[in-house]
Amino acid sequence: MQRSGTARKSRYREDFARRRVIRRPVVHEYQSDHNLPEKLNEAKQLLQEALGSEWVSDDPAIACGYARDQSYIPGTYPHIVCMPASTEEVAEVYRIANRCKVDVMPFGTGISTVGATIPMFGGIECDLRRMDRILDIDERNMYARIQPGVNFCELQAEAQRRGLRVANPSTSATAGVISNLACCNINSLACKFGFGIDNVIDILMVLPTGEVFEAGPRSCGMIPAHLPGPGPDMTNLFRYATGTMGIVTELTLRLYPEPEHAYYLYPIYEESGMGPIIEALYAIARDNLAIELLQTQNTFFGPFIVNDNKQAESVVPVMPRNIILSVFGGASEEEARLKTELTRRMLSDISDKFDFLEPETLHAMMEEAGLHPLVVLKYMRETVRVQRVKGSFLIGALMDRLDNLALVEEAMRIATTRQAGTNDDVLKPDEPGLYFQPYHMGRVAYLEFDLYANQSDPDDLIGTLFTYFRAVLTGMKEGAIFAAGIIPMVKGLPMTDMVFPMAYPGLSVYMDTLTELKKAVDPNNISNRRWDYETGTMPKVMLF
Amino acid sequence: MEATLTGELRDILDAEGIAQGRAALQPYLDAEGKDTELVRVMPRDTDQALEVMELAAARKLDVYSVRTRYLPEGLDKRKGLLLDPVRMDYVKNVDGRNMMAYIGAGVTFEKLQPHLDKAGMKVLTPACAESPYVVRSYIDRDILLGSTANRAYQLSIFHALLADGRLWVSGSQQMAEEGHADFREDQGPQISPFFGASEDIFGIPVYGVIYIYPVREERRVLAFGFKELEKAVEFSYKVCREDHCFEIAGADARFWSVMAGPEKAEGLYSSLPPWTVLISIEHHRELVELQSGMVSADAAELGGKALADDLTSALGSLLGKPWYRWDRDHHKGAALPVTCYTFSPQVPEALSAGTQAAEAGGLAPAGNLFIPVYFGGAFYCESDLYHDPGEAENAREAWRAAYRSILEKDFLVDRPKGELASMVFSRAKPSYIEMIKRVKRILDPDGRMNPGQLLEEV
Amino acid sequence: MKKKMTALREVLSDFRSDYSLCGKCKLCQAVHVQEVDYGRFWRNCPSGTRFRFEAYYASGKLEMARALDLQEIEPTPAMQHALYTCMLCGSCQEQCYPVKQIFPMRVFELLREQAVRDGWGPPEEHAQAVANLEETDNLLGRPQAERGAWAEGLDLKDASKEKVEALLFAGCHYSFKPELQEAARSAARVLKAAGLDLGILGSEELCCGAPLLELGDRDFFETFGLENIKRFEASGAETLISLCPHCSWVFAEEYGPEMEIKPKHAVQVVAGAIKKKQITPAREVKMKVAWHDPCRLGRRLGFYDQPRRILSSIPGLEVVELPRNRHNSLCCGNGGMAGYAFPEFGEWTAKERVFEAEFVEADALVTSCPWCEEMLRRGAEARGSKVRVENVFSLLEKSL
Repeated sequence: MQRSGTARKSRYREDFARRRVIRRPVVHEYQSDHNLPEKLNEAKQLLQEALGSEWVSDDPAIACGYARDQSYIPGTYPHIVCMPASTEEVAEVYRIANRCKVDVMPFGTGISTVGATIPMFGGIECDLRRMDRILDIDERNMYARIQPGVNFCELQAEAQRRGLRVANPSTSATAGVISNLACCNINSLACKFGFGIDNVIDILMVLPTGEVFEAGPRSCGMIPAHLPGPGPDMTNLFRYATGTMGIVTELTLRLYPEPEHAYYLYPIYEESGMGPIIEALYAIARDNLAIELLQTQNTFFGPFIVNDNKQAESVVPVMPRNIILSVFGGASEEEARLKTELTRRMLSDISDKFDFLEPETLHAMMEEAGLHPLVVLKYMRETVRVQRVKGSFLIGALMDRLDNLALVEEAMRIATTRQAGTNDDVLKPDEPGLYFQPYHMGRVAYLEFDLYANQSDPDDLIGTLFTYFRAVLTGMKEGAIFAAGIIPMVKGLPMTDMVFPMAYPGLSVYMDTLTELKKAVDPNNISNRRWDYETGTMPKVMLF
Repeated sequence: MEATLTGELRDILDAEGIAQGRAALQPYLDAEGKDTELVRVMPRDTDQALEVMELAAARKLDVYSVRTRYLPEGLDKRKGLLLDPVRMDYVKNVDGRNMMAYIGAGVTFEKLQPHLDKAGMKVLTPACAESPYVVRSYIDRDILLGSTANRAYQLSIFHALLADGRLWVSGSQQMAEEGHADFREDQGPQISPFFGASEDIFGIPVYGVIYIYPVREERRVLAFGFKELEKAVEFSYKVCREDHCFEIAGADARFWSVMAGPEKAEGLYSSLPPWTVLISIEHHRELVELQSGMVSADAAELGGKALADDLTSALGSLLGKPWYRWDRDHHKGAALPVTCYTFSPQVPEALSAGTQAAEAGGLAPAGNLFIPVYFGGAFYCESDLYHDPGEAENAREAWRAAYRSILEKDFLVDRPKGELASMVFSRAKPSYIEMIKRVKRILDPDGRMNPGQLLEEV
Repeated sequence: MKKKMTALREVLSDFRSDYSLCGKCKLCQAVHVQEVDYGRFWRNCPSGTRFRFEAYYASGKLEMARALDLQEIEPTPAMQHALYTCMLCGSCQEQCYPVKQIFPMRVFELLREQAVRDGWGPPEEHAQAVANLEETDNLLGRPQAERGAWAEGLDLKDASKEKVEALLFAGCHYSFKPELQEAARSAARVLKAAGLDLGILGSEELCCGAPLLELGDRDFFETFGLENIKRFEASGAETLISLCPHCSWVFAEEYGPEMEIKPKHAVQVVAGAIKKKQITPAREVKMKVAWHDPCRLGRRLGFYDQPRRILSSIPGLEVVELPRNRHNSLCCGNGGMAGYAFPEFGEWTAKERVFEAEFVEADALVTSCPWCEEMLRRGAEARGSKVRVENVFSLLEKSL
């Protein structure tokens, strides 16, 4: 068959000869002695020798995949991408990086809404997804030992097959368990079981010097019997460090028993005031019978439990304004139902305006929307909640007492109403997604106040961004605290170094200690380099 | 001690705030007759304590802290200040709604109790505390009755004195005022947990925000006797995994009878089965009723028999209050506990380490206790080596043998002190000790904060 | 004469919002996350799983498209490798579209088209395939005169000479590969048993052009397409029945709007015939089998139930599901012409699929795509597996 006349002739092809790369994101840095071109070449060569040339690349087509994430953060390419397969190889990556003074940005599974894995100044992107094994999962003693490439999807599936449960966060099920623990780990089991720091038993970590560090029972060759130690508990040095302190290559995670029977209670409240909702959350959390507990508004819950926007459009308007999701477990159905009934009675005493969406009714609603009810319930365990949002996702994540959060929420809503646009039809411009997540029996709670932006639409992005900061700072002014420890990420910004310690005197000692510890474990400042040791400032203004 | 220093300390504290000589060792049960060059200082609050630390820094004095009621080995030979929290016994607030209490480091469980009663609240109590202070018990990670369904951490926020006179503030209070989040996570890498079970080498806690729990509508105590330890453990595991209890502890007849006190001990010992598991269930009345039935059925299935009411009540009266190590001293004179954590199938092995060592050392039979943690994910095991003062050396040797056996099996010893710390940390990977040293160098570069208390080299 | 099959072609930049809005959530790497029962089987992107760098997953390739569009990077050998090791299986799109309404697979198809236009694709490893099509009008480079030989003795009409009701299109693989021809003969016998007036074009049958479209050479594909449509219409047939899902895909999606004749895949027709009792499987076939959903037949054309209906109609046959089934099906390793250019990678993928069959203790993997049959057999052989690879029509014929 002969080709038709138009074949291999196109304006693209003709233009190609003249085509030049003109807009690659540049590394904004002045007179740095990091990542020098000749040193990068040396590092690449050494890495290829250490890891095998198949697992090291400086090809821009490979590098570009690591340049952006779901945030609005401008892209930056790493110079080199490498994929170590063992703790020893990770240590070798760090040794080479130190020798050549090239930065290393750890990359767990690369799911971030805040630019956590974008290399600020280029350097080596250390993609850990070749270390993706569940090394051990102990059914009776309820723990799992995992590598950084393991995600919630696979760990949850394996745990559930054994009658166990991972405290899964409200992020994508494809998120890495270790990287999530290093950043947030907000989860719907947090009221009863805790989160983050509560679930880590021990770690194996490579410090930026290349030194292998173990903490928790394994540091002294002991079994992971759920307690920290021996002695000082250093297992959570990696938490909120987001790679500034090194790379965790193994972690032992606590798992929880899955009750044989579960029953669901969905109290709903259609009024606008948050008072009774707060009271209800206090009551259920304090009762400590619910294994899962969270409150959402229809604009948050609706879109996140359905498959697509079309389904969301049909579900959101018929969903109640406020819905509390609570799940009760029991060794028998009678026990699970009794816990549910007791909770129902308790809430009716708080307000007669509470209604109860029967599980069957909710499931019927889901079926109407074309969803199998079991799938809806599974959504709560292996979730795609965050990633359903199309575009950038600005998370106003704050913590405070539940009482105070009601005030914070009101202030934030005033700060954002009619200010933020969204590209998501389901979420109206003045309707940020909102949910409350009590922790530790309701002693403290998490408030998520999400704004959505289309990062390819400048007007939308800028408007939303400013509104976001206004809302978050309003929340902080009301006394709430940012939910994920952000100091390592924002240290070096004038606001952090000057205003925060003035506003919060308790912060300065911690910041000083953190600064010195960072210098001690990373003398060349190569692991997720953010601020300059000499000047104390961030050479490139980046938030998160 | 030079007079000017004493004078300056008196200016900061007042005359009752310092003690010297033998009086300096007054907090210790076993310090009778011992003298020391340490000056015991007793600040009333954080401000006074900080002033003392500033003075110590200026004078380059070592500072030690009172952490236990038993004198740490060789402490009496040291020089410097001995900070005693005894007068920081203020209860700032008991917040029943948010279930937290704000207390000074000198508040004991007994002192806190009336405040809790007033608010209809309670705390988790330790099973083998070495100090009566609540903050100390929690920061040192004492095993708690009730830690199966409630997290091991009971201390949300703490403030600690640093060697240079600065104050370490942990958790959310680094960036939010008290009364807001009061959550225990630091605002970056988690450095505050380093202070736990550290023998205060980084800093001395002076204030804490602790978790408190509501008193429920109904509380029922059940006790089941088992002939075999394995069955008792299996039963405890099931009850915990199904989340059917608030407090739970299993022990042999010797342990329970000793815990019951000198008057009841012998009578109880002869009436109790070899192993008894004591459980409290508390909540809504209907739920307690249902769960009691389920627990009883579980026990029966494993051959467990419910104890008679009087025995149950005698044991039940032990719950709800702290168990101190010195509570056991009435039996034979002293008790040397051997403790570790292991998984449920290995509990018999863990307890046999102490029992056999006691036997081999010619001591009285040991008393054995186990407490499940984290829904049965692991078990705390304790063997008490009872001995009279004349057997102290034998007991110490048996104690060493028991720990050698435990460490050979890789069971977890989570908060080693003194001689045990040397045994445990000799197994540590060098990087672990190096990290402790790193943080120590940052927080206490001159090494004046509890020198040699965790490890001589740190 | 029409120069092109469609007046307006889609180009990569039409999908700018797709590759701009990818949030790197990595759902594209997985099967539907709520449907994972075994942690072992959560992955569903062969190229990403094998080559690991982000560029080999959909999220990385979307970023590649964006970077090219923004002129941040130029095509490189690594980009070509990442793009052409993609099996275009569509699993990424299956996950991404419902969540974010993004079409990753379409972006990769158009990226390949751009690669061809810009002269950096397809890779050298595909050159023989393109040359064969240029020289012999079939993918295998065999003489066209032999094309109808597979049907000898089946008593099928010659549709290039007489009018038929249904035109059977065997495709290059079934026509020429001896190890696959028996499956084609079974399919023809089954279709005849259903009472169809069946004919073939024989030596007049050309390649459907799907391989070219998969490589991104749309111009050349359309050359084949226009000629094929002419020949189909000349046959006067009402239905065009294809045996290969790749042929079915281009007939449905690309030829469809341009021709009167109604394209169908054979499983559709046979499942319908069973339902109407035109065929009644009677003889027992004692075997435990698992259906492997070919990507083009399942995810692309939506035929999940029809082949299962055929299997469940066979007496004695125990049908089990693979852990990754239906819209979560794993590619056999031969999709998107990746197995053609990178046979070791194809075999690596097929071995994983065969392992899945072993996991559910199936005696055989049953499918209905020549690409899948071929690659899965290689995978089974490489694994030393006892799992056989069967064609659905061969299996059905045994019970008739």
